[in-house]
Amino acid sequence: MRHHLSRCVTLLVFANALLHAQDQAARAPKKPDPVAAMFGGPDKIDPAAAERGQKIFAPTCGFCHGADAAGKSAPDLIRSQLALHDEGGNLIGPVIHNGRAERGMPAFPNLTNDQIADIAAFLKLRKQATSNRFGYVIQGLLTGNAKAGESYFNGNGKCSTCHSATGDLAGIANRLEPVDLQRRFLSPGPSMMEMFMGKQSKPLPSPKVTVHLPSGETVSGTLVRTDEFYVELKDAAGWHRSVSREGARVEIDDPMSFHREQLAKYTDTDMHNLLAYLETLK
Amino acid sequence: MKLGFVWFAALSLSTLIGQELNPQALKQLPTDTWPTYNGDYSGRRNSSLNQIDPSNVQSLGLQWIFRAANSGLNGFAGSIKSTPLLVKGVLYFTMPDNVWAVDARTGSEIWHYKYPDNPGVHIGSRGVGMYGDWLYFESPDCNLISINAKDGKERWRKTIADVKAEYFCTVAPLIVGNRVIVGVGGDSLDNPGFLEARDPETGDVQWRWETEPLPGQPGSETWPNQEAMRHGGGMTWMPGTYDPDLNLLYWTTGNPNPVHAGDARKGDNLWTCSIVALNPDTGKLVWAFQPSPHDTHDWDAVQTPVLFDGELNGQKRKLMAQASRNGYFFVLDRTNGKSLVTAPFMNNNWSKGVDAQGRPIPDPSKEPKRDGALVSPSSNGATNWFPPTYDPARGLFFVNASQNYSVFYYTAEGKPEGYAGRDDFLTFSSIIQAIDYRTGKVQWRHDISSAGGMSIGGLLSTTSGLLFGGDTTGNLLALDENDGHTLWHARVAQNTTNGPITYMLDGRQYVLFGAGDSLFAFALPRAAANATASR
Repeated sequence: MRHHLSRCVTLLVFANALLHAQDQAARAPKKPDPVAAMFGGPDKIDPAAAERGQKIFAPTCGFCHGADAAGKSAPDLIRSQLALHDEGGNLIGPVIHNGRAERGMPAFPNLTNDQIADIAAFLKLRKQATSNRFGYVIQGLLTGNAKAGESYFNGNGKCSTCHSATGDLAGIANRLEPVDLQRRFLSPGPSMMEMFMGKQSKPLPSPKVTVHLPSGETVSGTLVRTDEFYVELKDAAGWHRSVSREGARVEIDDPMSFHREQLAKYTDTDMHNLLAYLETLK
Repeated sequence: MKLGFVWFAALSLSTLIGQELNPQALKQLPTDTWPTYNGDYSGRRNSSLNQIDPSNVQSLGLQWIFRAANSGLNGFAGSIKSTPLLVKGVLYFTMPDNVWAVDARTGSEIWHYKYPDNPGVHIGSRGVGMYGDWLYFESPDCNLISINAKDGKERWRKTIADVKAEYFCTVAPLIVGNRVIVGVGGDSLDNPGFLEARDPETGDVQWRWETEPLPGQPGSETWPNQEAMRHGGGMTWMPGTYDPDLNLLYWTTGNPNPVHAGDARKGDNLWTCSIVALNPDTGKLVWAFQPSPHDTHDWDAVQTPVLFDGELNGQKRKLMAQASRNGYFFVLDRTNGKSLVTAPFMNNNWSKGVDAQGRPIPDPSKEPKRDGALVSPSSNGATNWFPPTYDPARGLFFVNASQNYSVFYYTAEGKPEGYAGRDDFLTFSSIIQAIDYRTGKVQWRHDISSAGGMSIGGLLSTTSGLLFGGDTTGNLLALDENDGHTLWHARVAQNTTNGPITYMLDGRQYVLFGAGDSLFAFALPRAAANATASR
């Protein structure tokens, strides 16, 4: 029972998050959304109708189809062909009204067409919450041992070489959700999703570069761009310079390189413990 | 004005006659045409053309650019991931919803076909297949469309799969005999994968192969129950290869569903993440090999199954090789699917070794967890769909590979469906690698992501010793196949997004790259090209 309740609550959280996102999307000024452009925009669902539909569905249909419509003694309706092709109740309506006696489904002749349209909206929302992984909620990350995490921070993890729990990381847990905090200590900087969405985030400190040219001259500054042919940098005076790598020796001092190397060393337990510790920095 | 142009173009093409695919001729790459996704049936993407070689590649010059700016798409969706076909001087290539015919000599647009707006996922399109005068294109919402190659007019469209059930289509159809082989994609609602042969004249189904077995059939014992099996995924995302002598069609399948929920489908989950050999006349399964048993990381095993003959352990054999998304390189006997070589080509932390059948053994502790499992490679894989190449002259297999990490989270509440989890990519890198097929050992690595980022570019090799590709900072590259050093580069400021192709036209060898929304055609200066003709 408790389990069942928590499922319903999570379901509502999902549903609300989705509805909220749609609401936001509808209000936001028209801007091309790269995710929508590629994966298709969300189905148009009236949030109020879906909410009403859920309230009808759970007590009426949930006993057999599950309160989340994922199926119990009766089929999963999230991926039911009929529900997927339904528009406003046009396909599921007759089935609900007449039942399917041969499969043991009772008729619900008293549900109005409006109520059925609301159920249809709820089913669409459930399908969308299932198929749209970008809306999935990551939670339940705090399984580690904070004490062990602190030892890792000051010991094997060598985090304290550059960071301080009372300095740059003071209050870090207030600024980031656990999932973001976990990702950022593993790999600082914007995530793939953030970059893909064109989201602005605080840039990482730029690597310093020194190029020893074959002429004997040395050029150094802040790295702007490099490939295997050229190094582009901003020198101390603020001028842009580009130099060929041919015959040159290039030294790049990237403060983030430690984080990249550490990726191959973490155990999952280290990762969970470290997060648990960082979460205490409030 | 526009009409006049189209009329002129149609006239100039009217001398073209139907083009037949001769299976024997397509055991290796033709030199004056590129008539299938991989150029031939072997998937090797290796050309015997040698006008361009390591001694003169530095002289390659840009001949033309075609910018496909009229796609109506932008960003990642609006880049050229298709491999163009070249037939009688015309290039045919695609993006989701879009097909173009472009003059291969001049880069002029001959026609542009635009499919109507639709709700299918627009992640990519690999290209078209061609039979006679007809092109075959799969739309994002999974229609098979037959288009007249002459003028870009649609002849018919036939539904392959149901877009409302979240199927979407990206495959370049493969023509074998009088069959148009079409695959499907879509991971998000636990659909079964399948492959179909369609009639080139009518689009009707000739046969259908289902990724999941039926209850009682071989493979069904690798699923917990019929329900799991019926919703088990295994999409046929990518064009396959074909051996006309064995008359075997080789196809590959994607990950099982729900994607990140292994507990919901305990077992190997056949024939997902598999390479299968089918009888192309009947669609019946002949043999199968599974590169990723019980996958929980989205590692579709759909990388090109490349066919070649070679010596292994002192025996001359008919082989197949795949550098798979899970980070393992496999060599099989393609007559029976038996494993000959299995070796990692990238460091990974998800496998406990290799079993007696040559398959990696997944470590259950690295399945997605609610609090996260740190796994290498990421769901994007140690490689992905981008075409590899194999050069028989050197026995080397080349792949655009990636060392990367991701945290995999299990997120489902209640019954897991769809992805049932997410992963958060942490790092990217791209490295072109040369693999010795006899051992699976990496002979050399060439980092193409010194500035970070990830390349989705494919590769092309020539028996003259050149490997063509691109890096992550907008450079097109030609590498020396023997040691991987750079022989030529040109910065076009867009990263390669497809597999480059090469062909002979009017006595000149062209190399054609797709990068972002543009095609870039390179050749030697005419005088240099003429000079090689007389040597």
